[in-house]
Amino acid sequence: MSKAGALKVYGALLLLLAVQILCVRYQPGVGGVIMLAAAGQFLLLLLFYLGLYRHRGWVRLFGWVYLLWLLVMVVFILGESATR
Amino acid sequence: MIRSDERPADPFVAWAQQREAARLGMWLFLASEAMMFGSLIMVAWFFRLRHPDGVAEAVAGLHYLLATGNTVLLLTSSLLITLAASEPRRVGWCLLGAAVLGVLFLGCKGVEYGLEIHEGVLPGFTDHSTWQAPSAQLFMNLYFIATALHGLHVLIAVGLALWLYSALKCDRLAPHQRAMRLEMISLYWHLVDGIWILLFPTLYLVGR
Repeated sequence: MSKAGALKVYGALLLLLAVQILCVRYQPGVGGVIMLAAAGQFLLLLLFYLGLYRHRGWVRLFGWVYLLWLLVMVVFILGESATR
Repeated sequence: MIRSDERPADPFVAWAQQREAARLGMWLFLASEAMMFGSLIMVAWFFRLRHPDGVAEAVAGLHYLLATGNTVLLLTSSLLITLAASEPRRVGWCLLGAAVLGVLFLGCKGVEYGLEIHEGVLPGFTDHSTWQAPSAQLFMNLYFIATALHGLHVLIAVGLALWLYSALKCDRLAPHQRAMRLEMISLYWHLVDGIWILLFPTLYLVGR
């Protein structure tokens, strides 16, 4: 990954962190937004720093497994709260 | 004559083949790590849904600003590890910088634990529970297990970065070995960072 690209991803990661902290300070109770921002950070890390976008074959497969694992967690959490 | 470090290790016949095998092994390892921490995160969310009052009480006592600083440190260390791969001339400095940030992360975590011990909320370091709701204690147990386990991973990542730094400085590695080890260490480092990215809001932010 190029230096400029790495810096852009870093900026986006910090921006999403700022969104989370602003939500905590000024909009308490928006846990969904905070977790969406965190999922966005994880996705950026997976795609660009871990290099999912430039790999093919089983590396890409593992990337999808990670993302599906996240999706399983989201479904579990939403399912739990919906059926409670 | 061919030096032993100029050939791929047995049983590989080419560097590309060895590198591909190392990648597969590393991603398999990372998958197992992701599942272990993923399970801890799921348990945390289960607690949150089942005992919202107790968890809110526990979360309110955590030092989220210190943890935010720690998140910035880890994100910056990930940037340095990425730059190490893209800027061959500055690999050493990038590795050293990432290791220093990792040590700072552990130092901050130590300060946080110290404050929590002082406040009597860290499990295993207090004789009596200060919580109104028993479920707050449960959440704090999970918090301690998850963050201590993650701290151990950061410590290992720092050790690996310092080891590679010293190997590069002493010129102990052939170019192929250098590139492969840097790639494996950077994969591990980024996953440790990614785990923290999900642990941080799960433990500190939501429900505050």
